[in-house]
Amino acid sequence: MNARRRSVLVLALLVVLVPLVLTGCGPKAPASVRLGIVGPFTGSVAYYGNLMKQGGLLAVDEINKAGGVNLGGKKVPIEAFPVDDAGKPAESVAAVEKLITQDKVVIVIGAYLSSCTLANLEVTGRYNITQIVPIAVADAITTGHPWVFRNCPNQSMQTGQMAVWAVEKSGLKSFALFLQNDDYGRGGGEVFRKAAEKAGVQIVTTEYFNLGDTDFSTQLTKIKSLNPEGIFLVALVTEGSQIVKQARSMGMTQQFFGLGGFASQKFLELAGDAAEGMIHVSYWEPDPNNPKSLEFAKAMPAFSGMEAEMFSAATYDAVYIAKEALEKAGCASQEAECQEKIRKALHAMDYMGVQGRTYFDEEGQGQLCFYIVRVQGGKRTIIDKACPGGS
Amino acid sequence: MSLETLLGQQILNGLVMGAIYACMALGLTLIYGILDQVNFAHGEMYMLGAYAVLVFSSWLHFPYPLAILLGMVAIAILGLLFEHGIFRPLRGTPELNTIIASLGASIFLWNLALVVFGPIPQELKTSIAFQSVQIGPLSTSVQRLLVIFVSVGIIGILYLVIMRTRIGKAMRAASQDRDIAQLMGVDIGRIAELTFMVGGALAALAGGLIAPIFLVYPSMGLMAAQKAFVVVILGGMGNVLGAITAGFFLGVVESIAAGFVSSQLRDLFAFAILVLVLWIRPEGFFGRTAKKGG
Repeated sequence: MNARRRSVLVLALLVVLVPLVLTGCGPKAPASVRLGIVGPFTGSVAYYGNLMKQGGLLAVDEINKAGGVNLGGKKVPIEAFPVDDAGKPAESVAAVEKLITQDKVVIVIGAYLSSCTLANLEVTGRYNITQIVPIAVADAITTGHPWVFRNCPNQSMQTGQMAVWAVEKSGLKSFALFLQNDDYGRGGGEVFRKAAEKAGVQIVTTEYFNLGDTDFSTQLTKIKSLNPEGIFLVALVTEGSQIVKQARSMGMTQQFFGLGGFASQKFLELAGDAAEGMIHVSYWEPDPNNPKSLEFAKAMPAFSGMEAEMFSAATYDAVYIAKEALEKAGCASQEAECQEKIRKALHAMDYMGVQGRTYFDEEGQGQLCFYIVRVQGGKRTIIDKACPGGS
Repeated sequence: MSLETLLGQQILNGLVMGAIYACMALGLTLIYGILDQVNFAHGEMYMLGAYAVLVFSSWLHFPYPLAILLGMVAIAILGLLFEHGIFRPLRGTPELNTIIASLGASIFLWNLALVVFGPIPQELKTSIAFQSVQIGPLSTSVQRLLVIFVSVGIIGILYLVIMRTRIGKAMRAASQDRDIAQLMGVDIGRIAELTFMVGGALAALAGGLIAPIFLVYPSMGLMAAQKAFVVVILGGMGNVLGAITAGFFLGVVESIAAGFVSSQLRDLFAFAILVLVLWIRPEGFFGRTAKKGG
């Protein structure tokens, strides 16, 4: 009885201990790879936040269907943790804090607004966790933050290229600037002014509006009276669509130029016919030269019921970039050693995604091409492509 | 464009916003003048008015004028609910209570609109919205003229009602002294209900008239309400004629200032005028200094 009891005990011990010992010596493969996605899923910019989320989840779904992330020969599925920041910096900080300390994510993807991203990258920095920024464009996001990588062009990259394009390639000789009265608008106007001076193009007036304004007839009347050939408009969808509509209803025929904020289906819906002819920046378009982008344009509506747009494309790529980096690092944990490997892998990466070729400079700023598009027949048509280094 | 044409054009632009400011401010000032209560949810009445007109017009396909009328009725009912649910129970308690309660209502309604209608701006399409009209050298759209004429018409009718009818007399009496008016047989409860309904209908009118030119979205009431407060103070708290005059005045001044000085200072002008008036003539253009004396 006694001997038998002892052997049962030994057996039980063996059952418990052997797997422990085995996992202890082998490469650590977690049960799942934990990815955090932070963005505004509620609040005034929720539409774009949800595009982000669905793009990210589509990538996760595809990767898991193909077996998962290959960590040193073992395939591990991704577990996604989407957290809402409501477009508020304070909530964004809390969301990322939760992702890191409770959900134990290895990489944080997000956020949408620059203000939120600038706040929450302090958190990933404090814990030394890698962050991939797919949307927010403020230049400062990738200056002096070694753990932050951004897979979209920043503000000066897109404004610079758009300005050069407008003053050099459009053939127009005089412009009015119509700017959102904040960092985004004023910064954009400054870059444009420099490009215009260099090209010897005249700027007849600089007008401003505030976020939330609804009547733009005063500024438009002034611009109309000065009769420039083109208008460089730095605005987002809500104000931008009203501005072009009001301008057209006043009989203004000027060529409008804009930045990436206009690259949304919503702009086309809201501005209707008035959007026709507008030339602006888009980070992503279904590009016949990039089969991956065409597949994504089909997969996105089937997966989420939402149109494929640049916000979903960038987040989709961010998840794949995370996967590539983790596979190269061969680990997926919050430990400093593993995070260091992930960062090295990201710096060395040269990835072909739905947004085309993506690689990062030493600051973690993604080097990728973007498009200059014109609205024709209610749709965006690619008219030019701008790439890092101006090629 | 000659300078005179440009000036004329900017005045015309300003009159459109002025008409909206006047409609908004009139409701606000009536409520304050008669009931001594400030409605911080007035901007949300404007926003919900625009949504109501949108629902009647774009979703249910009623003709636009009928949609405006139904929108005004809907928000008048909301005004009635405001009076019974928020303002009546708090009447006679410290002013701060009403301010907090109506601010709460404002936040609630704003978020409710976010949930129901979503954050994306919506468009109220009418066949006439962007048809342009040429008046001599000035150009504008049918809808913009409609904003000016309909609001002036409604404001005019309301002014006559307040000045010439029995019920208007009762309203004015209540505004001068509520207690005495009550002693003279004026039913203050009725007057309060009516005031809120008129305020709501006017805000809905403003929202419904402007919706085809602008877009409709949950946060549209914020700036409109701020400007309406400026107008109410400029015109003298509780002063009907003052609110109407100051509304048009602010619209035109903003437009001229932004057009001829600098558009980045547009809102600054509005609030600078407010500060100046508060400093030099705190009772407003038409205010009566002695109103709160007793």
